[in-house]
Amino acid sequence: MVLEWGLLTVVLVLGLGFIWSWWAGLVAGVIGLAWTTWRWLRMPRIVAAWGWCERGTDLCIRSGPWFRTLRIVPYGRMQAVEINAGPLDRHFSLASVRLVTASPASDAAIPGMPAQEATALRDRITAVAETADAGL
Amino acid sequence: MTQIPSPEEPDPAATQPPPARPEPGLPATGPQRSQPDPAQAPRPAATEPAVTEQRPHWATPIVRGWIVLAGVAAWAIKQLMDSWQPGDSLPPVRAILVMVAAVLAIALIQAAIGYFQWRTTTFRIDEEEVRVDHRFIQHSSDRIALTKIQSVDVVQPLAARLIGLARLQIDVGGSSTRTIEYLSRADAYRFRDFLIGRAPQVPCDAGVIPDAGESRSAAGDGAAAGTAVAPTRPTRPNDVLPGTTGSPSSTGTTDSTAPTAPPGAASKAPPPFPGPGSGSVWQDRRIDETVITSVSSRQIVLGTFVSLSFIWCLLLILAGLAIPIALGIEVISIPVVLAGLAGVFQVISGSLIKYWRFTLLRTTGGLKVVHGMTTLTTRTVPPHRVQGITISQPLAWRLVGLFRIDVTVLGGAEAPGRMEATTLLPMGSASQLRSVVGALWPSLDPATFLDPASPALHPIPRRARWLRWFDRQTIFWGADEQVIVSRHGLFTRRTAVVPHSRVQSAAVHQGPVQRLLRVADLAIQLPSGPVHLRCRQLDSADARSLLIEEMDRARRARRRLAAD
Repeated sequence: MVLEWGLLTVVLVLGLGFIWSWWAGLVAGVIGLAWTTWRWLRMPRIVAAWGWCERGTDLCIRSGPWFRTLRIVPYGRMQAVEINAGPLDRHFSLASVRLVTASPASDAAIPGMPAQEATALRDRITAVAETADAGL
Repeated sequence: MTQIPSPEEPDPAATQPPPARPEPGLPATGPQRSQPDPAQAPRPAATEPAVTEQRPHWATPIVRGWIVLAGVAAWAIKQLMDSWQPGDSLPPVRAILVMVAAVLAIALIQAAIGYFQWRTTTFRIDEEEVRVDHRFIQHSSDRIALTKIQSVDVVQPLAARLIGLARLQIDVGGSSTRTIEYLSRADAYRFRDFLIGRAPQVPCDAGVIPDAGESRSAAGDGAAAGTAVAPTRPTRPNDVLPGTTGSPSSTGTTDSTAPTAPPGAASKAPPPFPGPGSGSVWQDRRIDETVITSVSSRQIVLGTFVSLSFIWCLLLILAGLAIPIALGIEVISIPVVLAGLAGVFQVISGSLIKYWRFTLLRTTGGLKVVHGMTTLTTRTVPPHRVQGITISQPLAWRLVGLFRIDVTVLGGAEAPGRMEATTLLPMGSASQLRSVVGALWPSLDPATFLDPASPALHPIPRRARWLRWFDRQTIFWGADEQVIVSRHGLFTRRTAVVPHSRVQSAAVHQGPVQRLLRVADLAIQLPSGPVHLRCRQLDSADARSLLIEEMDRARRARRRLAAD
C-alpha cells in the first residue's frame, strides 16, 4: 500500500513537472512524500486494525484505525471466493481473500493473509457454503 | 393487425422444421375459460401451441426505421427552406427533386436492410426454450431456457402501438435483456402469458416475511390456508381492495382452478388463459387478474405539478423573465427560460407521460405493472425477487399525502433502460401504499414502519446533532422479526425496508468524530438497485448489537425460507 502511494507520487511529480511547470511537480513531490511517509509510519497501526474471525457461518472482518468498519458476511450469501496474490505478495508468501456476494457494495476482503491460511480459509468457506442455506 | 402463428407461413430458411405443429394457435376462447375436466387442466397444449416458430411482424422495419426517415425528411425540408430565397416566385424545382430523390433513396436502403433483417430473423418458442436467430450479416442464436426466465415485459412504443405491435423483453436475471421486436400485440401478450406461466413459480409470500403472529392472524391464516391448497394460486381475495372491479371474476377463477389442479402438478401446469379481455391499445389486463391499485390521472397530474423539480423549473422560468425585465435587459434571460422550459418538459415526460394510467395488477407470475401514455409498458415483477423497497416522500408531496415506492429486483437493475422498471408506485396515497406493500409482502404491516410514532422505530441519540445538526430528528432506525428499516431525509423522506432473508451482508462504519460521539452507522448491503439501507448515527453499542442480531435474524430467515 505504501508502495502504491510512493509510485503515485513519483508519477505525479514527473507528470506535473513535464506537463505544467517544475514548481508544480515540486509541490506535488513534497506533499506526496509527506503523505507516503505518514502512511509508512502509520502502517503498523493500519495493519494491526485489520482482523477477521469466523462466527458460526459468518465471516467478520474488521478494518481501519480511524474510520473503523466491522462487516459481517454470511457464507450462505457467498457467490465466489477470490484469492489474489501480486508479485510482492508472493515474495512474502501472502495473499488476499475476497468474498463476492450478490451485492457489489459488500466489499469483504482480507488483505495480506499468509498464503496457506488463505487457501485453507477458502476451502473452509466453500465447504460451509455448499451445505449452508442460500435462501436467494 | 393480429398475426397468428400459422403453419402455412413460408419459411425456406428454417433449418429444422418443428416436429409437430399443432392447430393454428388461435387464442382459445371457449373451453379454457372454466375447466371442468381435471384431466384437461395440466395439459399445456390446450392453451398454447407446443412449438411456435415464426418471424417477427412484417411491419417491424417500418416501426424501427420511421424515426430515422422522419429525421431525414425534416432535414431535407429544412435544407429546401434555407435555399429558397423569399424573392423567388417558385421554389427551385431541381433542388426539390434532388431532395425527394435523396429521401427516397435512404428510404429504399432502409427498407432493403430492414427487409433482409426481418427475413433472416426467426424466433421459436417451444416447451423448453425460446430461441432467437439472426442470420443477416452477423449470425447469432440466443437460446433462453424457460426455467431461467425471470420476467417478461411487453413494451409498445408510440409508433408500434399505433399499428398494433409490441416488443417482448425477456429478462433472464443477469444483466442482459433479450428482446423480440416486433410482434402483433395479441401475440406478444399471449407469448408473455405463456412464458410467465412456465417460469419457475414461487408463491407470493414464500416465507420471505414470516407472519407477525396474532396481530394479523386473520389475513395470515387465510394466506396460509390458501397456499396449502394450491401453491400457485395467484389471487388472494383477502388482499383485494374493496371496490375494485376485478374481484368477482378473480374469486371465480380461483374457485374453479383450485379444486381441479392437483397439488403436485400445480406448479407445472400453466394457469388457464382466458382469451378475451386480454389486452387492447389502452390497457393490458386479463379477466383472471385483479387490480391491486391504479393511480388516477388526478393523482398523476397532482404529483407531477407539485413535485419539487417542477416548482424549481417554474421558478427558473419566472426568474429568467422577471429579473431582466426589472433590470431592463432582455437578451441574457433566453437561455435561462429555455433551460426552465426544458426542465418542465423533462418533468412532464418523465412522470406525467411515463406513468399515465399506472396500474398494478396481481397475475399468475406475480405482480404486473402497466403504465404509459405514448409508450405503453407492461412489466412483471416477481415478488420473490424483490430485495427491498424504498418509500420516498418529497417535501411537497407531504402536503398532499403522496408516496412513491421503488423496489430493488434481483438482476433487473443493470440492464439498460431498466431504471424505471424499479418503480412499483410512482405516486399514491397512503391506502394505495398499504395495498401495494400488502400485495408484495402480505404478512407485513406497513404501519410498523410508516407511522412516525411506531414503537418499532427508534430515534438516534441527541449527541448525534453535532454531526447531523439539521436533520437529526428525521433519522430513525428499527428492526423487528420481519424487516429492518431505516428512515432519513429532511426534504425527501426516504424509508428503506428490507426483509431479513434478503440481507446480503452488513457492516458497521465509524469515523473518528463518530467515535468521539459514540455513534456509528449500520449499512445493509443489497444487490444493486434503488434501495440503500443505512441506519445512520445510532448509538455505537446499539449498532454493534443490531449488527450481530441482524446476522442471526437473517440466518433464521434464510433457514425458514429454505425450509418452505
